Amino acid sequence: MKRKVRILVVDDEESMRDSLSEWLREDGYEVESVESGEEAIEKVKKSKWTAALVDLKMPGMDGIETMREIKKLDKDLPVIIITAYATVDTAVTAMKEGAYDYIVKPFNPEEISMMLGKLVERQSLLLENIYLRKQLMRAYQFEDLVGKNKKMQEIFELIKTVADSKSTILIQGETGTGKELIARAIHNTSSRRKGPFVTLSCAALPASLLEAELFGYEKGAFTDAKTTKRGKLELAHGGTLFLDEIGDISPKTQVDLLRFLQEREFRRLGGEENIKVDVRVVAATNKNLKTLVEQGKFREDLFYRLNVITIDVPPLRERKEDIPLLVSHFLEKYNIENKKSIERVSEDAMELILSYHWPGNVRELENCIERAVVICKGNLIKPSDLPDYIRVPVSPSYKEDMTLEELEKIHIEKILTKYKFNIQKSSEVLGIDRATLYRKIKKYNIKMLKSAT
Amino acid sequence: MEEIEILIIGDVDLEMVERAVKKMENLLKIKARIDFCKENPDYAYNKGRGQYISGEIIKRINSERDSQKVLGIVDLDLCTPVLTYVFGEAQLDGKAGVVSLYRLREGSYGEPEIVFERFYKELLHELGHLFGLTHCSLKNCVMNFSANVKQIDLKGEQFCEACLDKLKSKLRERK
Repeated sequence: MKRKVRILVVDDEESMRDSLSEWLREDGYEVESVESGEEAIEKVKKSKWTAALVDLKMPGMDGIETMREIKKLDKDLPVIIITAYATVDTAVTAMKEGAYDYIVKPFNPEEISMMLGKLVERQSLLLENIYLRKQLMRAYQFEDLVGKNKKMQEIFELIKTVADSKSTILIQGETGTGKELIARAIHNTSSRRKGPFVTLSCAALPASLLEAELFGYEKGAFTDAKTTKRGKLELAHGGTLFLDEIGDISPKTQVDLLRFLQEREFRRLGGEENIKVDVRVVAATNKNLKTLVEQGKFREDLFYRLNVITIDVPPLRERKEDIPLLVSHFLEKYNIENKKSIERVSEDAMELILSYHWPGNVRELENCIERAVVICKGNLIKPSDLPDYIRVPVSPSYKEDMTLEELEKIHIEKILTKYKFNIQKSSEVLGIDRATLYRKIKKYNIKMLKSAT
Repeated sequence: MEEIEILIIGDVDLEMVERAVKKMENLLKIKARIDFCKENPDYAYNKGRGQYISGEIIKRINSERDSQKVLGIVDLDLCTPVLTYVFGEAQLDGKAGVVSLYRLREGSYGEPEIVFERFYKELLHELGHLFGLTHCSLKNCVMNFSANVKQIDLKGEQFCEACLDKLKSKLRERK
């Protein structure tokens, strides 16, 4: 069966339009025809086409101009220029402007059918390419985690190995590295996947509230306990409890949690009866628990209870090779969410993304791409679509053996960036006159970064 | 029951048409009625190209004939505004089509049997279009597109299974 091939015919002459469309339809293509370049552009804006057959001579916008506009909207759309008068000049112009091919009407049936055959073959190769890319992407993806970095691949393997065990798992990593995603992946890969996945962030709650959240309480346990409430541990029965920011819990809760991990049973606050639950605990922290233990802020016995299996998630700056992969993953995600069809990130924008140090890790990168998708006007993400702080190159910091000139350049750059290249303001802050500042800008070849619109 | 009208337009080898129509009736188990339009379709003549525009003939059939499916037969050099020549043309899933014997004689060494076989294939091919069939990618199916007579000779004189199935369901729909 033929793949769905959609052809747009653009010709001002009705008889040409009709006979070409009819023939293309007989050949099994989906065809739409319009009589002007302007209408063609509207069609290209609205939907995806396999190819456009555009007449060279049309009143108003001619074929070449129409092609130029079409290419701005969809640079990969092959445009075939049709002309009644074959001259070398027009052929050369058409091809130079990016036409896929050039055909003189009336066409020889053999010629047009061969040309379209080639085009369909090209399209099926493109589709195959997209399919293979997706397959490849899947190889680098585990659940919602994306990464081809060796450490990440090791983590994916480890998740598969430990998922079915009952052991407690400790996930360590900076904020935004995807600790919760790893916990979810462990849950979804384990035999507990049909059970609940319950999360509790320990940092957000004061000690007493955290205990109530974790263990639940009986009616009358404290002033506001008007009804009996089940805690997260009970809610997670048969599934996984994810305790985020475990490094932040109080000494009292640490003891209670330790008891639960040892006995696998607990009491609700104010309760007398022991409750037994089947829960796998996955804990996460962005702090170094070992250091907290050394400082006496975290119980050593609890640390060893939690630290049966440890997963260390590398920060994004240590797995830069994953950035392009993550970018395209988020691009696809936010394209769908925002009903956009942004094809890719421009090379200079990608360069900026790669050179940024991402203190907020994958979460920060995701937010950055989401923002870019929302504000991007065309189908290419440009540097101006990125937040300001990413566009400011990380200036080399102070080094002991720096020359005075190097130091001066860095300082001038910093001030200029801070005041958005306002020369008057910057020269005032620097304590020099404007002419001197101009001279120094020229001398050190300091360039202004384009600001976002 | 009469299902298709075969309209002979101008001067055409009647015997060849009758033979092909009979063969087609047997293949598809349908009835066809042959009718005549003696006048040469001068209205479709294009002076500049010295050829007949097939679309004009189709338009005329559409406006003047009452049958639901009409296939005109001519012995004229047919073309369309965009193609230098055609062996025939038909409205996809429509009412009218046309087939020409003219170019089918190329390289036939005066052998009427070769021309007959080509004509029969093109008759089935345009009929297929009238019943909504598009070109088929199978080389031996009669719905495979032929840009020249060699390609007509190379393809089979049968519909492939998929095309036949679609054609038969279309024929059943009409009953």
